[in-house]
Amino acid sequence: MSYVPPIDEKQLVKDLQNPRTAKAGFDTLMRTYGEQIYWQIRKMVMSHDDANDLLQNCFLKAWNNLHNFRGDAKLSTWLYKIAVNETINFLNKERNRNKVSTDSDDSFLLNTLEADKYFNGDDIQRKLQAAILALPEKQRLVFNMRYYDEMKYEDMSEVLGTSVGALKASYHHAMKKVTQFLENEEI
Amino acid sequence: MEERLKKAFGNDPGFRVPEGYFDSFYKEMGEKLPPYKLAPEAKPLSKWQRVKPYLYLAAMFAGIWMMMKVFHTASQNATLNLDNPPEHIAMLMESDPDFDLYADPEYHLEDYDAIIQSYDDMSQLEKDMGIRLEPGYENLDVEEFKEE
Repeated sequence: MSYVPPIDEKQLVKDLQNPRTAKAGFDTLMRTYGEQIYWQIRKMVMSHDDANDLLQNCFLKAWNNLHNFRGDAKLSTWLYKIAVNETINFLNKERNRNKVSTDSDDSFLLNTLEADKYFNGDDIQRKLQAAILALPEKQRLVFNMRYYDEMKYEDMSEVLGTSVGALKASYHHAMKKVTQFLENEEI
Repeated sequence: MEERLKKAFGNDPGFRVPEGYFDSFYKEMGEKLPPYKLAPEAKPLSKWQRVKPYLYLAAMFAGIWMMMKVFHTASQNATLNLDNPPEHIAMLMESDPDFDLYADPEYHLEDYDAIIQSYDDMSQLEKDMGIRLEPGYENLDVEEFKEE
């Protein structure tokens, strides 16, 4: 998980809601959370170019809706939510384009991964990605957030709108499926 | 399970970004941002919008009051149910001061037709209904009407 420098969140929210200081505040917001949001998107869509477009959309939506942000949730949670929605919409479109009717087999993204010049993973990393891509969308989100980012279940719960218990169960199932997939691959 | 997986596969997914990607992204994004959107100002409420909730509330109370009134009246008139309708109907008829009016054939011709078509004998009607018809009707020849 990328390093997040400490910020005064209350002050940042105030800056973001004031038209005079909003731009500077937004720069701080992007520099604070941009990288971790990018990696979250990238692990779902595989390609750098797609992740770049989605990150732009995400920040553009955040900027256009700053007046709606009341500070009830954490800024990071709010940004993650936008990013997750953008990513899910993108994946739905990609599935339609690739004539995939279910969200539980995004293996077509393996081709995207292979074609991406900014992927330099070895065979082991490729295998793990193939196993993760065989998970249903929600489990894939949960797996990435927990396995790679070590995100707290409480934070995940706010982003995904699912109870902590359900997320723990989802992660457990995902882990089991990934392990089984990798065992079968070795045979 | 997680520990084993991390030991075997690590937690680097193998993705990379171009050199200096994030810095240039933040710079470009900052330049691309459209003008700041202010929150839309709330429109003042019209007179009707301000009065509407109170009117609805008043209508609701009026409805409740009317329902209570109806239930109260019904409960005073004995219970009318499917287990013993004839007795209660007769009792209600007796207790109704306007019943004589209903029983007057001239008052309601349709009722009158219905009554004479279902009874051959007016004394049977009196017995069933527990009423007493005016003397003029006692010897009424019902069959004569039926033939018409």
